[in-house]
Amino acid sequence: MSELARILLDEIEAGADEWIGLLQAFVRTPTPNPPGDTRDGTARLAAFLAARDIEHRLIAPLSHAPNLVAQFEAAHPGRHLVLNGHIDVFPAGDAARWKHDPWSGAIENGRLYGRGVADMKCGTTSSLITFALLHKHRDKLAGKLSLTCVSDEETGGRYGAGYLFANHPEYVMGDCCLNGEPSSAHTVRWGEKMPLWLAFTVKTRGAHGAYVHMSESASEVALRLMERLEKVTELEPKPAPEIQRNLADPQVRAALDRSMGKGAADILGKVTLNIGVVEGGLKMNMIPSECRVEADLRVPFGLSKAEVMACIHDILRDFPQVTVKEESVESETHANWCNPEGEMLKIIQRNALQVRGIEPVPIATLALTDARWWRNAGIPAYIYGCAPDGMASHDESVAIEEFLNVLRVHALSAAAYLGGGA
Amino acid sequence: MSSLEQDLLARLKASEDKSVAFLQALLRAPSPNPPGDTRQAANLILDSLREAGLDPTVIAPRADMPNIISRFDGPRPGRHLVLNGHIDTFPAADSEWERTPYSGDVVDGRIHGRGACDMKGGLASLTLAFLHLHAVRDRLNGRLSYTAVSDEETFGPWGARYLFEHHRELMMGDCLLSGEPSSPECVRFGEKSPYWFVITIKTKGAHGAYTHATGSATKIAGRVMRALDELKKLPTRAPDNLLAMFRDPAIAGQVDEGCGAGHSAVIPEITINLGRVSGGLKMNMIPGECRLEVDLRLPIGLTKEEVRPHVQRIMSQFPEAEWEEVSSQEHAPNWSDPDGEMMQILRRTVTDQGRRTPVPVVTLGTTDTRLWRFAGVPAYVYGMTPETMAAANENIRVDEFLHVLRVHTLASARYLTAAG
Repeated sequence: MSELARILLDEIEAGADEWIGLLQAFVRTPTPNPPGDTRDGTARLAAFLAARDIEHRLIAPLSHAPNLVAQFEAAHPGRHLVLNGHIDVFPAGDAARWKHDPWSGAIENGRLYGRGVADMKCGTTSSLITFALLHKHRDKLAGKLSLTCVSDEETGGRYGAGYLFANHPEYVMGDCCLNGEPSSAHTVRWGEKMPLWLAFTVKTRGAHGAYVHMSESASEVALRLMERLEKVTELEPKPAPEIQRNLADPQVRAALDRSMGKGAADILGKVTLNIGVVEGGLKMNMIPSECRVEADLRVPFGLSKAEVMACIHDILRDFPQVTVKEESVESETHANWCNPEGEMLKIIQRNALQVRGIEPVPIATLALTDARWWRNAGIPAYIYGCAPDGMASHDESVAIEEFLNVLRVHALSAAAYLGGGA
Repeated sequence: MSSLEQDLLARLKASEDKSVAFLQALLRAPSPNPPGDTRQAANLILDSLREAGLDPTVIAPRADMPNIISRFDGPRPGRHLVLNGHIDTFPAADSEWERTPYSGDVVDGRIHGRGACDMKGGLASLTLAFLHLHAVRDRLNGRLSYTAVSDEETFGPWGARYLFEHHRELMMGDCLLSGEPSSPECVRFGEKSPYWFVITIKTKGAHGAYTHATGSATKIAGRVMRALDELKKLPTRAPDNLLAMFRDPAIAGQVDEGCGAGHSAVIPEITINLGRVSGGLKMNMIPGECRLEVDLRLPIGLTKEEVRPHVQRIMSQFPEAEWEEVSSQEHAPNWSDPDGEMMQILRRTVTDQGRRTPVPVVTLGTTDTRLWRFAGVPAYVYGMTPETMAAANENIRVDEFLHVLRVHTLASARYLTAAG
């Protein structure tokens, strides 16, 4: 272990109460999206940097959803690493189903509870602290480190990471990105399937409910369409060799099933279809003249959006009553990925093994994170974070020791990437 | 033709513009149900009755859903005819209409607006017929009652059902004439019965990318609906005389001309309409719940009791689904004598107007006439073409409205002057 690594671990140990207090205070500051007002949460993070005299900026394309960015140059020339995390969280849902109030930050049996603590205030807090610790030791490092804490991740990123890429590339266009989204200690993540969100509208004439001979039912057409859409799940992707190797690795498959539930390994390489919403009709006794179907497809590696859409349009030839509109990001054309055998991935594996005693398995994921902005820009982006316990559900929580471990792995990995050893 | 009829026709002829204006006013007084507030339209009717010196009774168990009853007696004893219509209409989704749903516009000989055929056209006709007959009451026998109710469209409890439960004596008579849509080609003497249930499918739900983690409530909903299709094949047992009528190609042809192609074919069939489907909260979440509102129509010769075990059997294949009947227990297919006196009067009256003799037909939907049939009162329906009923841009022909008004007036006069 390098000298800097030892110093960082000591500082993390010595400051543990402060880091835990910071995470707790962050969780106690509600930033649910929707509605997406993250001002207070961002202010807390900014105050942490301000207290250390670390220069930072707020970039707020939406006044209620500011992004926090900071950057420093190390003593020596070198590569540019970007730390990324998001400030906004899922809405809390039904507070009555929570053991502790979703915004309590309550600590019980070594776990910290609250909406967003796993997704991803644990990770974003780790990025923030990592940035501060490395800033302090910038004389021992090479290159440049950027911190990007964004709002608007949960609803697509247009005003968060996406905005920074379009308007402030100097903060995001680095050589590598490290992100603390939930991954669990067992995995490190290199890619994501692409969501393809399609809203189908079925229109028919409509009629009285007993007059079934007078009009086709928009809802019944919708149900037929839903069945036919299943065909997309049979499409056969052709991923790159290194991805094929990864997907076939029994260790990877086991890790996928363990981290995302049994069956995850089977669907990762396939198109999946979720009918998120179906809404048709006004009243029991009217034949519906309109029905809306919102389909959430996930496109795997080695298959393009165009190929999937060709299949959809082929199906729609039999449905003249149906129109379709894409509601996902149109400019995204493929699943996003970087090398599952890349340098930063190996750095993270090494440090995780040392800190936690577990070497995380490189996997791709089903859901989407802001890491895609980097990968789509050709910049490798890796995710290592806490377990997703209670994510998007109730009783979301993180073990405090796990939070500190995530922080340790991030700090050591970032330092190593920037030439500080470890 | 009697002098009474000639006088009535002359009155009708002289007041055609006023008749159309009255219907326009009714169409411009929105009364969609839900929510079912009919007061504005009811007030127009009350004004017209009071203007004629009548003293209508208003029975409003729910203040925003008034029911109107008015009656008069002829100088000589005789039979009691009841006229019935409803004031509420289907709701309207504005965006699908070419003009506002409550325009009452007359364009190219057609009058537009939600409820034009179901059934403000028929209601206006019955109201005006009642007023014209009131004007000649000295020449009629027996009693004529007028009932305009609210809360019909949802089979709600505050209209005819309430009156039958609490003011049965005001509803009962020897015969009922309704102005619900039938088309001028047909007289309706019976109806199919709704059998409604709500299915709720519950699954665990998950993030939308985690399709391996849970069943999807919306996908199961699709499978449930496909399984329910089997119900369409259940055998039915209508009386032979009715079956022969349904199958008579001459009758079927005229029914389809009047009520729309395909109408006659579905009379003896079980039909299924998925009235509402609602599942999921968000595109990228696997829905944990999906709700289906299923609208079955049972033909004459099949009861709910016979269908229920089949629904139970099919639904038992779906452990994630629960189902609950929501149609009222009283619903059952119902019919009056297809050769009854009022049927014959209506057929003759229409023929006398120079139109083709209408054929007897069974209503696919449900109307309040069932309540009279259940009470043993023969009930017949003659009204507008149902072509645009419940659809956007609902409209009727102005000349058809005036025709129906003549038939309502003359048929009622014939019933109240017949030897009986």
